[in-house]
Amino acid sequence: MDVTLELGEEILERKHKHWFVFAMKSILFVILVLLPLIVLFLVSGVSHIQTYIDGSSPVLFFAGLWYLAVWIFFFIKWTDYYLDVFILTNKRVIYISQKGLFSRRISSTRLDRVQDVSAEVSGMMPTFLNYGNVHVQTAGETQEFVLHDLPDPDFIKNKILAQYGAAVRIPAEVVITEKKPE
Amino acid sequence: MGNTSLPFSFPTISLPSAEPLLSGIFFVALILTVIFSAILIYHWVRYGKHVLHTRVVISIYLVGVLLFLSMMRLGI
Repeated sequence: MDVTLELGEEILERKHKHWFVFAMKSILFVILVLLPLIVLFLVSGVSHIQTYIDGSSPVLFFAGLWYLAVWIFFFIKWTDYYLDVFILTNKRVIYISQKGLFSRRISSTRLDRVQDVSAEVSGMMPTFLNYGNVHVQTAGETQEFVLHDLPDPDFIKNKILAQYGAAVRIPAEVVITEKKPE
Repeated sequence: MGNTSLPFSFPTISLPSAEPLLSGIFFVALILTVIFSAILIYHWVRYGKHVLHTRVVISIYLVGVLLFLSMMRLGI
């Protein structure tokens, strides 16, 4: 399942989820990396750690096994994070969502089918770091698709609306004119 | 001062060497690593081409894997 661009279609914007989302998931890995060292320290003290690292010992073996598992698990999570991508082209909005190693979903909608776009920033850290969800309401079978945890959702919303304007050939800026009282 | 040795001896238990067990675990870990690595590399080669230097990611991953596998091997 791959994204193939149509004739004359070009990529205008490509965004991954905000880095903070992955940083939060990485805290678990930091704990997992430190765990064997903490256990070893509690069991034997600092002066004896060197003896485990020097020669062949089951401690070194199981530490290697532990770190290998953590390393592979970390890379699976990294793949999961990095292969989630939002792509805006001059014809479509595409959202690729990778779920683990064996599930991948590509949602796309044509710009002329977009009915409404809204940006949502909810929570303390998303507010400080300016990331959140973008909801794209469409006229298609899938009524709405949500682009999760994108950086600067307001900018993305405006960009989609601008491209929608270009796609249906109406100006993106809406000029509000006040009616003067007669 | 008499003889201080005990009139009996404790039975000795000969524990089997841990090496075959560790080698077995190493072998299983190696097979699982190869399977997961193949799946991960497949993902990066197929889907990662749009997003980052795939070769860099794969190289960093493989360096880590080799490092930890050698760490395990040293421990046997």
